[in-house]
Amino acid sequence: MPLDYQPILLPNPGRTTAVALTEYEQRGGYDGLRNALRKKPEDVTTMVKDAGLKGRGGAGFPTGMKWSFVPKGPGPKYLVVNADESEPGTFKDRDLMEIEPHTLIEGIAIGSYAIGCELAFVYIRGEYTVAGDRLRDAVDEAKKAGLLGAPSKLTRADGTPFSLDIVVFLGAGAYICGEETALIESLEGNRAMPRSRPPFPAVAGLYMKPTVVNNVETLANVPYILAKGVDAYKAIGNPPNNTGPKIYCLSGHVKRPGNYELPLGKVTLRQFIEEYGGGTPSGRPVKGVLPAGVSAPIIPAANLDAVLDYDGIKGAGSMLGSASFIVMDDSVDMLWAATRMVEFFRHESCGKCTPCREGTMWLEKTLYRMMEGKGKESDLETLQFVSKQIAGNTLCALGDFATSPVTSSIKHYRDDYLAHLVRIEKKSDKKGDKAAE
Amino acid sequence: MTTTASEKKDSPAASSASAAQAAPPSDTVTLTIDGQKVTAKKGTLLVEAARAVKNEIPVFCYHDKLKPVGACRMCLVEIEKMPRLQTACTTPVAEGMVVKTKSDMATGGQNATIALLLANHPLDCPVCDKGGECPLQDNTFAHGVGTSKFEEEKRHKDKAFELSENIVLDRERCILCYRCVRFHDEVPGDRALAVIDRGSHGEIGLASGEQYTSPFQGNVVDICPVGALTSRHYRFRSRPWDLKSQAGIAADDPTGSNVWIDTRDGRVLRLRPRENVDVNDAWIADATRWGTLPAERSERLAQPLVRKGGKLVAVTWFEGLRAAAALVRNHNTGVVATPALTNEAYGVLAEGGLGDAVSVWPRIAATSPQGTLAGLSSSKSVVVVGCDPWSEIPMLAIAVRRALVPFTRDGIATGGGGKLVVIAAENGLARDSAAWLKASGADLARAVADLCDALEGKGGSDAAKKAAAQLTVRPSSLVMGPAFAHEPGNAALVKRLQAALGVVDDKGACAGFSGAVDRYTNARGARELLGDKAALDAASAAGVLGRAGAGALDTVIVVGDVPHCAGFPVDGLGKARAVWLTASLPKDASTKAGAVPDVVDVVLPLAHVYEQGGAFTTLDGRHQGFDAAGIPPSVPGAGPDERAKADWYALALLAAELGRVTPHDLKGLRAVLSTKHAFARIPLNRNKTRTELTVV
Ligand SMILES: Cc1cc2nc3c(=O)[nH]c(=O)nc-3n(C[C@H](O)[C@H](O)[C@H](O)COP(=O)(O)O)c2cc1C
Ligand code: SF4
Ligand code: SF4
Ligand code: FES
Repeated sequence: MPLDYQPILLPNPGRTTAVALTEYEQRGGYDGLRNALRKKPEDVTTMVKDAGLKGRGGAGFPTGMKWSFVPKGPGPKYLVVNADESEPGTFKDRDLMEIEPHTLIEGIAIGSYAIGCELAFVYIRGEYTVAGDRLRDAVDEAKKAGLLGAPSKLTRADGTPFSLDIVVFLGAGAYICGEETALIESLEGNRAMPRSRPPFPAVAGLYMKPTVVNNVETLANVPYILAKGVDAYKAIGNPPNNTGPKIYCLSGHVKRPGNYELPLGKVTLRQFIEEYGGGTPSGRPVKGVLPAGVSAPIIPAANLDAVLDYDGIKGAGSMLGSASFIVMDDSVDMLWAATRMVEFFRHESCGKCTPCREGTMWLEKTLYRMMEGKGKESDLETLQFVSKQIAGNTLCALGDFATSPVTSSIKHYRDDYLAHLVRIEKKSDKKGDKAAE
Repeated sequence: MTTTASEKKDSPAASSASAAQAAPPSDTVTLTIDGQKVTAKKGTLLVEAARAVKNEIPVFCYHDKLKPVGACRMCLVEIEKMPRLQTACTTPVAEGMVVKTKSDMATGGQNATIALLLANHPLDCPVCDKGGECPLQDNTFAHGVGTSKFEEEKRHKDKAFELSENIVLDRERCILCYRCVRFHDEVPGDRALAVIDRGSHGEIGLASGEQYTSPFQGNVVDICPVGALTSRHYRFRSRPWDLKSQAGIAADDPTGSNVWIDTRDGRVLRLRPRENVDVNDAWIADATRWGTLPAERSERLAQPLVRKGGKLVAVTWFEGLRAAAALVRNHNTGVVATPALTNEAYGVLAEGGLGDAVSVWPRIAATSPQGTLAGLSSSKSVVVVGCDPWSEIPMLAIAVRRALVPFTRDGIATGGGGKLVVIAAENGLARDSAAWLKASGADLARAVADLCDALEGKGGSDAAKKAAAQLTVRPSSLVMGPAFAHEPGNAALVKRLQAALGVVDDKGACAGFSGAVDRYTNARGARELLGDKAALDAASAAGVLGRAGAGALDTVIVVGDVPHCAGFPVDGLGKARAVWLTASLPKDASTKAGAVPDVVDVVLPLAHVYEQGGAFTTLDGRHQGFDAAGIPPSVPGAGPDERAKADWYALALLAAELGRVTPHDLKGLRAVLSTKHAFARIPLNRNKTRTELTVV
């Protein structure tokens, strides 16, 4: 039985048009911002902290805490919205921007007020032209209505006018631009390569000024906290660690792929696939699920009873990440799947650091050879060895991501690998989509 | 960087630990590295803190003069309480930090990096220029694992990509440490090199449509940690262990770049920058690196030439000196000295009285600049008028840039923040300027007056006002091209600009730099030793060339060759005959048409600067001595005296022939000169990463 839950972030499932300002205000839109402006900025940060909101971009870092790292002194500070959404199987930020642009803008405005930012940036992946257009239109609407602008018509708690402009920027489409420091480099007009930390963006980010990078969905959660209060927010989900609503992207072998907004921690992976996704189209059993696009270990069928929240997925040996669930039925050859995922990471590795640049290439070469039926049992050891050389040693998390399909598939589906060792003729027809790169 | 331990040893900056002890206690932290307690200044990077106690953490991408990037992952170390390995090149020290650079976990990470780098590396060390001085080789021996797990085919890339006529890139050897790219981005700021493509396809190259024309290309060869970048001027000519390195001073650079002169069998084969944080830091210009190498010894003139019956004939030094002396004795004689001789040579000229008058040619500025280049680099307001350091004195352009953009020392960004206003034609510094008032020729004076009006608050054009608004913070500096500064009509204007900028404080001290910059190696030395009169225009009525042209001189002794300005001042010698001391002639000069002008009756061959000892004075008054590195050309089979000679030595011999005795050895000569001149009190051949600056 699907849960009885009234969605907050995407309250109109199935809708394809953007919610305009009037409609948004009719349902209480921008009340959160108005409430925030009556408080001191640091009290806004405290509310977000108390609400337990965690970053929805992947790392799950507590949002209020991130905001509190920004130094209080004078000088420019920036809020940068990560709308690069390039994780395979991830399409939640797109719906949020295309359909509920004002929720995001309100979230940006509240966050900007909290950290003292007067110029915010939204970095959208290049292919999301519709989202870009709609967000720009919505920014214009909000400016005309005096909600944004330098200054806007709104007043801050200290009596001064609230001032904020939002720049909407479309990237050129590279996965690494989603990594927050690479995103900052790209925004500055440089090559998208992650920066070494320290300094952290909160201290020296965009143009070396204090910067907060937040995911679209993260900020879309903020208006509700300010409008309805901390307790109302915490009532959603599975406190203390897993509060608030979450949009789960569902794709792969399911009858009904799509975005599903649910409270954190209320359904299991099995329920989600069966009751929301309608199960596999083939009726074959689920073989494994990728919970975070391709960036976290595969969850084997044995762990389908894991609860959908940060702790539950962690308990199943993986990570919630962007909460993009890719379901694979038992027709999937996991060596092929791992090869395809490594191919993706090899292609998307920015190449700045040695382990990821070189390691992904060797993983790919070895996997290709195995796919050709030329594998040896010792290759499994080599794959694990190379994965170990990469994981934990790279400059950004992409390197770690790249190893998880390999190590988790060897761990759970060793037989799939062994099957290729004895195979004489090629049976790698599923590799055809390599040309799509 | 590829600095050897000995180079680093005497760098005061490198010993952050000891430097830290002098700092107030709140400024330092104490940590433990491999069980050893280390006290270091806050902000010091782990890699430098370890270096200070002689614990070298292996690095590839880290270079102490470039911003740390943490790219190669060679320097991974274990830090207690941190779950992952950390890069020592990007992690600042912290109080109580416990670092293990040799634990299993740390070496595991380091080995992984080496293994992954070697997996694709061509391993063609036997034919690689870098062999023997390659950090990849060194780190592999020290930190690598023996055998490779990889059986896939290595990646193939260009083996000999020509980035420019100077530099070749082997893309298979490249380990993508980005030092070369970062050098151009950060030091000259010309962003000459780029990373092309992504991931394992990434390679170093040029942005599309761009050409590699930077005047600092050679430096990337030095800092490349593998043999990926090589100089076409040096490829495969020698193995490093066959070379002898000797400290020297650039032959063409008035800022006094410190160099290593690498020789084999007395032959100068290559020049490299020698670290001196007060002068050239770790860089030299390409003009110095490749433009000042002496020609093959056997191809150069080694014997004096004397004109007999209209023809030049090779003779012994004994005969040559006698012939030269005969032209001088009982004749009205003047000396034309180029502004690129050693101070010792000027000393002989000043003391020895070889002629009635001495003029410097080509013309140099009448007065020496005030202040120092270090002052220039720490100025907050800089004005450049009528010159383009970028093309004329490249290292000066870097000194200016340092005032504007932070540079990196021991891994930490420092300085910068100044503003530059350029008043000149096409200009390499325009990119870094806050305002560029485009002007040349006579318009320069007008533009300067305009800026003065704005600075003094007496109006001025809008552009001048905008420029003036950038120049409010002190200290300030003024760099002028000699042509602008020479123009007598500009004297008052120059004074006015100096006053408006406040380059000199109430007590007459110049915390920045102010003056005309000559591009010749030792213009300042010439001026200081020969006196202001020598700096007057040689062709004017009182100058040696002017007097010769007017028939007042019988003989002119021309000493030296001028980098940047080939040619001998034939014009204007009138009926006078000439003695020419030169290092520029080929061995067949006596028969080669046009090699020796007709007015020359005696040629005395000089050694190349790198083949003799002496001292130069930089344009900001820094005296730097050097010993001979190479061996000058000599006559095969003849005695040891029959070779090209140091400039001061040839002059001293000529003076002796004329009965005016000056010492014939460098030590003795310097002892005599030292009573009057500070340069002669500063020892030759000092290899220091800092040298004291004595402004006379
Ligand atoms: C390779 C890589 C790709 C990433 N891509 C995205 C992305 O597309 N969108 C996103 O919001 N975060 C992405 N992240 C995470 C961001 O670096 C960052 O943690 C996040 O934007 C922080 O926002 P949050 O705190 O609101 O989650 C990526 C991280 C890595 C390492
Ligand atoms: S881990 Fe990969 S993507 Fe991240 S910096 Fe290193 S090479 Fe680039
Ligand atoms: S060419 Fe040399 S310096 Fe440049 S990135 Fe490659 S290895 Fe580094
Ligand atoms: S030397 Fe530290 S990462 Fe390269």
